[in-house]
Amino acid sequence: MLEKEVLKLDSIEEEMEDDHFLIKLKVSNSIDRTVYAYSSPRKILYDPATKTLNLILHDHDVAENSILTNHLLEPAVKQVAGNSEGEIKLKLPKVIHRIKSAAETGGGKIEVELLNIQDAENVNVEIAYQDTPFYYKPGKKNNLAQLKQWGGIISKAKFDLKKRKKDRE
Amino acid sequence: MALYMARDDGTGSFFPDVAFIDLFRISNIDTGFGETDNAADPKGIITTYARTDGGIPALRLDDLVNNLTYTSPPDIIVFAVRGSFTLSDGTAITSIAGIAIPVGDSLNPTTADVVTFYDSSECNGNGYIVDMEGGGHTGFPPPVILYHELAHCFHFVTGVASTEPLAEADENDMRDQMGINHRDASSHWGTCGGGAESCCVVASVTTGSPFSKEVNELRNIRDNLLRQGKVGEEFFNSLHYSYYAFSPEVCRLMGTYNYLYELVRIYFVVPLIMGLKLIIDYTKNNNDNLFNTLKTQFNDENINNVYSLEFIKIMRYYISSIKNGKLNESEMFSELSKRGNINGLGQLAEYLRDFTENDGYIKWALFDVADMWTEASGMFLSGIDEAEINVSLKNKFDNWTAEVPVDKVWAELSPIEAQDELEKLELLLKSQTSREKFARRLTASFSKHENVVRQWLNKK
Repeated sequence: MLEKEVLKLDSIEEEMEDDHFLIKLKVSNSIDRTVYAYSSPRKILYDPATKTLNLILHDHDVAENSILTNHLLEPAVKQVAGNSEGEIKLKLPKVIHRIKSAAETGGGKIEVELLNIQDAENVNVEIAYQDTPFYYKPGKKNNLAQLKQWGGIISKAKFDLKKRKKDRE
Repeated sequence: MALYMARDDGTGSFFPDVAFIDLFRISNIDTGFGETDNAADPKGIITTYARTDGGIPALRLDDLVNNLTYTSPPDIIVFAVRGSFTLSDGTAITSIAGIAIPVGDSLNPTTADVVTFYDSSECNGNGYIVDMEGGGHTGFPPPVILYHELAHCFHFVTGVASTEPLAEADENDMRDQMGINHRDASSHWGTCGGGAESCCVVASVTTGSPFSKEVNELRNIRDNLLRQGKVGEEFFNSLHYSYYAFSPEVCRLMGTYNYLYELVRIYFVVPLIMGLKLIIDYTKNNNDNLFNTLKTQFNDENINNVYSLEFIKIMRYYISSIKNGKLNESEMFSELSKRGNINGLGQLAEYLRDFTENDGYIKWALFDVADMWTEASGMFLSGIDEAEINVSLKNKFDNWTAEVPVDKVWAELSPIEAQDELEKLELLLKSQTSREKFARRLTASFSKHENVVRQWLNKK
């Protein structure tokens, strides 16, 4: 098992396609073993005021007693070969439909917030990974506990898309 | 209490028509199932049901719609969503497939209703899969996801402690109605179609799919034979760690020399599986007539058509060249050369030799097993008699099992735990000779277990 960060999140590019947008994250692996990294977002959070997109590719934020505990599915995984660079492609919807909490609405009415994440100018990425693939152990710990144990190392990075978008204009 | 379908609120977030279809399927296309849309009702479109179908899912739906077994429960609202949906905390629906949320949970957007969200997009078209009863994987289509979540809803409103095994057992009623495979109710594993479970990357690549028959067989062996007890679990973890240091280079070579895909499959993957089956037959099934097992294997045309005596001889040559590192120095070199460019085979042989020299787990668990099966097959195809083959295989397996790597986990075990683990190992170490040999190796590394080992050896 890994004991320290070995995956560096180097750079990010984004591409608009017809019905989604693609974030291409360039990463580099500094050890001589293949690393297996989450390659699908578990949480997508967007602040339209600051145009900041948070892509959470791990399950460490989920509480131990959460209703999600045994519902969490095995994530998609990208292999990054030892001592090499790789690319993690995240195919994201252009607009996220986020249901507001009862605390936000007062519980009276169902409200959905449409988040145009394609407009993001800042992207924060957090990715969990390990030097062996995840394998589920039936009858052992719950899904969340197994995923947290496996994806024990997280690399984080912040990227500025605003400059890239400006350069393209 | 009523069962609602969330109405399209103008944001394109909810799909009541889809929810209706999935509920209609749950009713088994019972024309008694319907809806009433009162636009003034903020919760959504209320369902109605005058049941005529007698199936279990229809009965459950009737109960949910018409409160047959409980009084004054909260309403249930069904939200059919798509892949772009997230819960209030940002959790992507594609990371859970569906969820049922009781009243009072922070993720519930209401304060008085039970809610369920389920992904009707099938993970943006990739499909969801779950573990299948009996081994392998099976699909998790939207009506089944919804039925599973409604099982949780039913537990919430009737005050039953809602667990995954309960919901999964209920889910199988819906699967029966749809005529699809049962889910393994003891496993909560699932994934979105593309994010497949990693079992054996080499087997997945060479057989064309992580869900091929060969990979499912390996997965089954892993889960039902290897991971027994603390020692078995740690042995598997060590093997897993070694394997994923070993396999990426094999995959790289296969990517460079495309012809290696098929060769790796028939030289290693299939012999490994066949060898493991022989070992399972000898150990778990207590079968001493392995000649018959081999005969059954060779009755399969997939084995018989590929593994002729001539081909086995070529395989034996290749395996011995891995052991001695001398691929080029043999009369068989010209035989292999006839198959075209063999640079990749040479590199693979060298890599396997280096790895198996340095890693006891890969050598014991993978290479030696494939080697034993190939040798046994050669004897079988050469017409050597049944008794001789049985004695030879028994001796080989006994020698092999006695060489099982002694994992460092033994250092942590108490005497009682060590005794328990030794008893579990009796399945593998069938003969007194193999037990004595293993015992010597164990106590050489972990002398603290000498007393326990002595008692274990003396008990028969």
